[in-house]
Amino acid sequence: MARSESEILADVRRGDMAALGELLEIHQTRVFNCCFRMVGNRDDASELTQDAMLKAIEHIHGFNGQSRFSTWITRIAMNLSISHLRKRKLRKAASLDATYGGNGTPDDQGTSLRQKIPDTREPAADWSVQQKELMAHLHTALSRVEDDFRAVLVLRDIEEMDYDQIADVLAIPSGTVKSRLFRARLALRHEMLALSPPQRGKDATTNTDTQTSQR
Amino acid sequence: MIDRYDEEEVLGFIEGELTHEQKVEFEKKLVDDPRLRNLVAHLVLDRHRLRHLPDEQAPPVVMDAVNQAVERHMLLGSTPGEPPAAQAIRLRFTRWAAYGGIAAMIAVVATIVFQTLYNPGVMNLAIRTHKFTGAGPESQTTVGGAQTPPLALAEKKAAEGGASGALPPPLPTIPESIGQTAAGETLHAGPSRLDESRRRSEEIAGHPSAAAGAAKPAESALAMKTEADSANDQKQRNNEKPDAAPPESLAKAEQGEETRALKLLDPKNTPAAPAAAATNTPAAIEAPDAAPKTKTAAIAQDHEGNETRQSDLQLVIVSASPAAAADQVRDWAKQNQAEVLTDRSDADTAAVEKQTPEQHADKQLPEQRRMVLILSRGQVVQLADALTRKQTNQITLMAPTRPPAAAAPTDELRDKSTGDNASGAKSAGADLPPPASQPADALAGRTGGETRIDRYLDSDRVVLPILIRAAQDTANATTPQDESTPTAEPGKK
Repeated sequence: MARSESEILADVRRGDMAALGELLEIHQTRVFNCCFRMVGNRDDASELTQDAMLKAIEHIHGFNGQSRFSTWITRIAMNLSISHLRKRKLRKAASLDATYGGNGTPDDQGTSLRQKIPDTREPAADWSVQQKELMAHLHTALSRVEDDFRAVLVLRDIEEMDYDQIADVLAIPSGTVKSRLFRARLALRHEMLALSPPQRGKDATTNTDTQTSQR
Repeated sequence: MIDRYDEEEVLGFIEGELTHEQKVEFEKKLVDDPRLRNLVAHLVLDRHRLRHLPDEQAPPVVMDAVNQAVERHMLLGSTPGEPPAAQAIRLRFTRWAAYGGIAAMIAVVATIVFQTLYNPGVMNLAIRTHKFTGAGPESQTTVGGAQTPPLALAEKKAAEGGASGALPPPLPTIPESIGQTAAGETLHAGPSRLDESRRRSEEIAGHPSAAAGAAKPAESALAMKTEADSANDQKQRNNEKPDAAPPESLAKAEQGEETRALKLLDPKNTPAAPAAAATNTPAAIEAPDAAPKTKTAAIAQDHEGNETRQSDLQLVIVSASPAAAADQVRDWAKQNQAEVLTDRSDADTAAVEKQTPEQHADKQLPEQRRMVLILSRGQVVQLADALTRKQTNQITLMAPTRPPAAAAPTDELRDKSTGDNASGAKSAGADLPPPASQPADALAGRTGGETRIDRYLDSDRVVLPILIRAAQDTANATTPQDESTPTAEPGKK
């Protein structure tokens, strides 16, 4: 008989570590997806998920129950992901999208490293080719938007949180969440248009509108 | 272009948060504006795609590490969040324990300081209580019957003397011994204690039996002093200004409270003396309480750490022949290995004052002798007993008196104590004026804290001053004279 999350939490507060393991296993997929959508890499997402759960074990008595456990652990995962992204930016790694020649310098062939690396993070094969390509574009576009925008989009659309929960996780006001969410959607649309082959006359106006809004 | 539209309205439409009316109104805008309609359609589509992104399954290694961490905490028997909480409680308890300890130490120190500053006798009382509680013959009457506690003795005396003649009961504490240092100096315990001492002096002075007997200058001065104090007290009670300057005769009384003891030197002043005279039995040996705790034995550590002990008793022998009594004392001392420190003769100053001009012209002064013996405490009673068996003496063993001022006798004893021979001491003392209570002064060691006779003695030996006085009249000669002693000369008073 499966117990509810509140019952498991009650056991956790009584010091039942087995219950804590059970609770973390329930939220494992959610945390991993959150990290994966944020960092765009399975290995990094696995590492961040592990770190988030260990932090949850370490600070479980800091969870006072004012928010939901999912919100609490998502906040941990989101903070870790943002910190990871910042560190990755600081490393000044070579851009995967820059074109390089044979000697490692940018060349004129327009071949990027991303295109040379086999993508092992693609969805399952039973998807249709069109949808598979669409999801790949969406994933790529999501990884290209700014971190703050991506975080709002992930929390809103993937984690399906409401504005207050997003505000709680990101520690920003709800009004800022709405504004940031709208701008994030426009930014995602802009990236999607950039990745998609231009459709004559159809998306031109949309592309122009989103570029105007980005400014 | 998008800036022309309301962000909240567009977002609300995308998120499905608009009311029905708002939604209808916005759809009208969409119909009118195909660019907006195209943008919104793509935004809704992107949202839909994001929401339907497939969930990625976490690799199993993630939960492996998590399960290992959970098991580690379970095996260690500690809840992950427990250590900080337990540590906080422990820190809180430690902090409060430290605060409590500091507060207790401050309270103890403050109490000690307060007690020391406002009640300086406490320390001496503690020392005295530790070393002297109920011990030693000096605190109780030991001759002529069972030992009687001082308080009981005083109450007995009060009962014998009646309501008017009763001596005042002893103080419940040891007020006059409190505050005496090892050097014999009195630490004034404050006005209240001084007032208490004065009150006792008044009571003693007002005692009928104290007014009788051999009157001494100090005694008369005390009587005047106490009368003046009583008058001043009465005036103070009546909110009147007390007399500014006391009579000059009170100067002697101001020198100390020893004059109270002088009253008791006279056997007639003691309640037990008449009974002894009537029954021709050895006279009472006054316990120090009879002279109300003038100087109980004081033991304390002086500034050099030596234990000093002063005699708390003075043996008063009223004899028809002081010379014969002195011989008896000397013989006894020789037989009992007691040391005679001082033996000299002087005139009875009290009697001189009472002399008639004729007696003064004839220079018929009553003789009195002063001796100082060093003997053990037990021998004090033996000596008194031996002298009483002679049936020629009336023995009173009582507390010594404080001298008015006597540095020379102390010097004499100091010489003795530092190793000079006894003859030198005697010769030095022969030229001294006859103070009223020279030995007691010497014993009190009030001359500046140099080497004193007290230090010459070990703790088991005491210095016993002996005053041998001639009987003032034949009627007061309570015992028949011994054949070996010369007959008292009636003319020599």
